[in-house]
Amino acid sequence: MQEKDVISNSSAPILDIDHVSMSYANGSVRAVDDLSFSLKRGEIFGFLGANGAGKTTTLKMVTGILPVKSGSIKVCGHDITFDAIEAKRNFGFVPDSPIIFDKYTGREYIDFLGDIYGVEKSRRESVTAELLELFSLKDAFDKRISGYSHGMKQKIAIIGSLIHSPDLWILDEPMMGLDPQSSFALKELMKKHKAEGKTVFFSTHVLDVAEKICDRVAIIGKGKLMLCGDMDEIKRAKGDESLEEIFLSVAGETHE
Amino acid sequence: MNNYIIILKALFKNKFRFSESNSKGKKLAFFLLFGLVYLMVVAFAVSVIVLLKDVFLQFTVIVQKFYFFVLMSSAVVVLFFGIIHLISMLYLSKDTDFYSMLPVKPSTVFFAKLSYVYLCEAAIVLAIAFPVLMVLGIVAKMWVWYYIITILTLLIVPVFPLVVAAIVAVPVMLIASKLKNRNVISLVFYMLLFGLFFSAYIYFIYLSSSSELTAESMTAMLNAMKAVEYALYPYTVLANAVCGISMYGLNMGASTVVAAGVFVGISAALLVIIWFLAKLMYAQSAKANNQTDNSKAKVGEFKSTTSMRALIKREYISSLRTTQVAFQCYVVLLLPVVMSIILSLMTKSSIVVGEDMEYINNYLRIIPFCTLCAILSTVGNGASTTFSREGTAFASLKVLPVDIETVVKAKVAAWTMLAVPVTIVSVVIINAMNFDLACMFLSFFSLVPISVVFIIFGVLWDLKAPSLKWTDPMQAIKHNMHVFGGQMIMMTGGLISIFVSTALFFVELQSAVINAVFWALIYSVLVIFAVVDFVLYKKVNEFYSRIEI
Repeated sequence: MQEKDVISNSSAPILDIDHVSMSYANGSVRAVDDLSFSLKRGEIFGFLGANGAGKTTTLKMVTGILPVKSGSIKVCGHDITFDAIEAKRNFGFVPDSPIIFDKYTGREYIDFLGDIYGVEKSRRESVTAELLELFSLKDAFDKRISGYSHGMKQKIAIIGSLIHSPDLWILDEPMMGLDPQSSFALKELMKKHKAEGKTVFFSTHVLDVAEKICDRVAIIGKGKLMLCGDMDEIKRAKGDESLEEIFLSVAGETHE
Repeated sequence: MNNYIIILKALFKNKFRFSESNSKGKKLAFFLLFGLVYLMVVAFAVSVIVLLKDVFLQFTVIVQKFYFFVLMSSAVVVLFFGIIHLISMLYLSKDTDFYSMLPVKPSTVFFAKLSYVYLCEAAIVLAIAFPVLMVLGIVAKMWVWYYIITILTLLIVPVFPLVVAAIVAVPVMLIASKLKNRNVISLVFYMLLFGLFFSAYIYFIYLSSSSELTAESMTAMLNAMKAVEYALYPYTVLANAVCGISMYGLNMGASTVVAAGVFVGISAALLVIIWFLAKLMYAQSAKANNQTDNSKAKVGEFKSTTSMRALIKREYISSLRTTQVAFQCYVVLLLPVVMSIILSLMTKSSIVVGEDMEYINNYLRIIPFCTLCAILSTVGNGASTTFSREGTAFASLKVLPVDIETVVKAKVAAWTMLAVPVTIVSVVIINAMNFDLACMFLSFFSLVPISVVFIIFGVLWDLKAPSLKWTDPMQAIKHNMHVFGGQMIMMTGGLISIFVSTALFFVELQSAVINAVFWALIYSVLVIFAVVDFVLYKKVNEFYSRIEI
């Protein structure tokens, strides 16, 4: 009942990061420092930052890969620490590293995820048919993943992350290794996801992409939130500068 | 389908499939070689049982002791190899991140991985111990119950050491995850654990091998045996149950049921403990062990050296980067030393002084050397995966302004510097304990060079067709035909020497003839590897240039 309330409440944040911190080496290095922001339904949210700013660490905490030691993270109202299984059912994640099931074929990998998320066979078929076409991966689908290129692995990871139609789609540097056609296809897919009333949360270095498709962005530096808000508002507040200029002025202050 | 089954299935599928690049011929060669070595090992064990037939028929208690010994040895094998396997799977595996983001309980992943390791170890135990214990049953004319319960016994044998290993590993890995250099700390901890274990084992063998059978030495030995039986109480109980030895003042049937129940009960209690520990600590520990170490590094300074030394240093650093790879490359180096101590002590205890015993003593003296020759196959893990472990980083090697001969020499030097001292120490131990001048010279000038040519073979064989497409460095070692193939050839060389010498011993040929044939076989292993190395070395540029990344 509580879950239904959370899901049906469209104004409730789909992802709520509340005063989250993460430190290494017995607290001497702060990878994420008191980070707070939330994502709404039906938006594309860009997560920007220089190398080592804490983007991947944050995404790993959001997805339950790293423990949340300070603060809290809620996905669709479910705490990733205390209600991990329900929280995880609500997102799909595309990591920046290649998938590890390389002795599986693409189909077997999707089947594995379908089994874990409890996706019906007909649904697996319809989702993959559309996405395989979009990413031109049809011919390789029944071949072993070990023979895939980096880009092909990225594509099968993308398909896998969408097999259960998650409300929140999280992607870590998704454009890396994709050819121009596939990058375009991915951007269109993100827009489609948003059009369905769902949310996309992705980290990227490609500022042009962020500028074109994001409704809101957050910029972090040294684990701290430097800037967060509506794309147009930010631009207006910063004197209509490009996102690149804004990024350099904000992230440049913290980048050594 | 249940998540536990789905994950277990995925683990097997992803680990046990042959690489697509392996041709049918290669697969067939793999199975033939594997089958041959398997048959030789089993045949050797079976022949020992048949030889001891009369003793087994006369004394049921000896059957129980032998049965206990087989169970204990199986448990030791599971503990030794299983703990590395278990830690690699539970804490150091690259799939931890992947499973962490799935809507699956960490305890489900934990038990799926534990089950995976258990099933692998149970298969090994069954493959080796089953035929041995079946033959023991037939030879000792055991009751029907023996055969039925043996199958069940062998299936549950790995549970005990694995659960103990898992219970030890959970807090250790949690503590290691909180410290700097956690890879090195966990490696050192487990080396100490093995050291402790083998020291205890060697001490027991030492007590058993006392050549003077005084009342004190007998008491010490019996006490040590009792201590071992108490320490491994579940196996003692199990051996009694299978062999029909009454315990707890009950009749045979009731005692068997109670004894089997005690074993299952102890294992179940341990499983409950591990279930609680897994719930409490596993997720935290596994996640922590997969975190990147972002701690601030000390400011270093530049050091210049020759390109050869730089390449050797690179080889060591890359092999120590991940704990599981370091385990596979370095911990196995201890095996020849440990085994040479055990073999020497056993030989020493078997040799009986007397003129008419010289024929048997001569045979007993040469057996440790061929066994050592077979065990030396373990020193080549690092060398035979040296190029495969590079993975896509092989590209960085190709762009260096260094020719492949220099790279090969550096890699050979790196592993020879470790393998040769290990071999020398092992040879010295065997010779020191059972001294014979001719054996000392012959063994030193055969086994030490064999370790060198074996290392060279490993490096060149891996360069011929390295497995570079992996996502987890362990894939470069496990399921690598170069490691397995090289080890099998070396082991086969040692085992053939044992078989031929044993056959000649039983047909009662002269000691001089047996010695000549035996050393000729050992030296032929050296010559074969040297010739193959020479042929392969001629082609290094061809091998190198055809590698595409």
